[in-house]
Amino acid sequence: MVGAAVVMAIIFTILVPLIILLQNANALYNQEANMRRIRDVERATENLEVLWTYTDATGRHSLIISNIGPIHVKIVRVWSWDVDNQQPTPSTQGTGYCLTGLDIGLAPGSTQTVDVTDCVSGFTGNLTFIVVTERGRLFSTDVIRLSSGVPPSGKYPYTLTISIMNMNKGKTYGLRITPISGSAAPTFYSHHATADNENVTIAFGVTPGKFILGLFIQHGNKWQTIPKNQLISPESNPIEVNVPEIRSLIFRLK
Amino acid sequence: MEKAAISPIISTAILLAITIAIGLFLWFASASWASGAAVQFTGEINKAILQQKSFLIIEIATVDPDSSSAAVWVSNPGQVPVIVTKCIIYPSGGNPPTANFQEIAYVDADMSNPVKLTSCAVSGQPPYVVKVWYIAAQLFDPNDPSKNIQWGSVAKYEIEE
Repeated sequence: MVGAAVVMAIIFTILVPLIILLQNANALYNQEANMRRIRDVERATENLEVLWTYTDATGRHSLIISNIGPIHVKIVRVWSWDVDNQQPTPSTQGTGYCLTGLDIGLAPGSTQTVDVTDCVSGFTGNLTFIVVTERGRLFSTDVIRLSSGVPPSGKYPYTLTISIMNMNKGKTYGLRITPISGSAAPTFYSHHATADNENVTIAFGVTPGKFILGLFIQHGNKWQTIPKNQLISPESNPIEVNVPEIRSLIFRLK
Repeated sequence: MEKAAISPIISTAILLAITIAIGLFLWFASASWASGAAVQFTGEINKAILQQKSFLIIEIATVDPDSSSAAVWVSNPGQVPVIVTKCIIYPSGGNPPTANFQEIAYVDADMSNPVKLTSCAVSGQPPYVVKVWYIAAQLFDPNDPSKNIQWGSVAKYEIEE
């Protein structure tokens, strides 16, 4: 009877409290792991559209930030990033960032405008703006070209340079540029090869955007797409390119 | 001749005393083991919870290959302060350089300002990969920076050419 009392005492004063403690600790961990999962899902669900605009009349650069996701997002910081030199734009290098300590709350479907003129004053080159959210997501604009802090004048600020190599004598080749977004001039160029292995380079004036480039060969009055098996590069014909990320391309014929 | 024997009362008392002594010994031994196990288990659970609460992101990074200097801006969207214990920058696809764990920066759980790291070890040529090791500040031991490192995490960032 005394032995039984000792066993019962051990069970109720040691094992039961120990089991309860372990279960509580495990429940606390599971709760925290679940909260982390929820935070990760919320973070992955954030979705912003960031557009850059420049107003000629006022000379101001702005970001139009739209919350196109299903949850509320808070914006805490904006970077202006020199794409060519992979560093913050010079006017922000004292701190690195363009704007920080922001408290911009964006409900789903809402839009907010942020003035970023001071971050790019006098800047020449390609840059992108990066927006940081409180949950730690980064969203960026397309690459923007500026000259002395303003967009370059002229309708076509970029040159898309295309080379056609190893043409066959007596054949006529055509190059067509079809804008998906943006615009280009000219949109078609043809060249008659007067020698074997002849090369030609053509420059198109383009705005930033997405384009489809196609290389053709003339048969009679018809233009036929040159099949991939007659090309060493690029990997397909026609091929899609983004300007200003890609500004040159070589069609190398076999 | 009759042999003298211990009286039943005394023998019962002796057996009872022995049983109680063994019982007390078992109770104290069990209590000691249980308290030790509980402390160890809750300590491990606390570390695992701190790991779940800690989070660090690399916002941007810039490297000058000529001078092997770099600046990496990090911020903490997590729920507890973290200590950056290692920061290396090496060619994408290459072997990471060796670097010891040490306290590089304290990053509070506050997204209002990023922290700039300037003491990252840089090797090789671009394109680069940046890796930053961090651990919850409560788990960091300045006298033994590699202690608890299994409860730390790594943030990774690729620098485009």
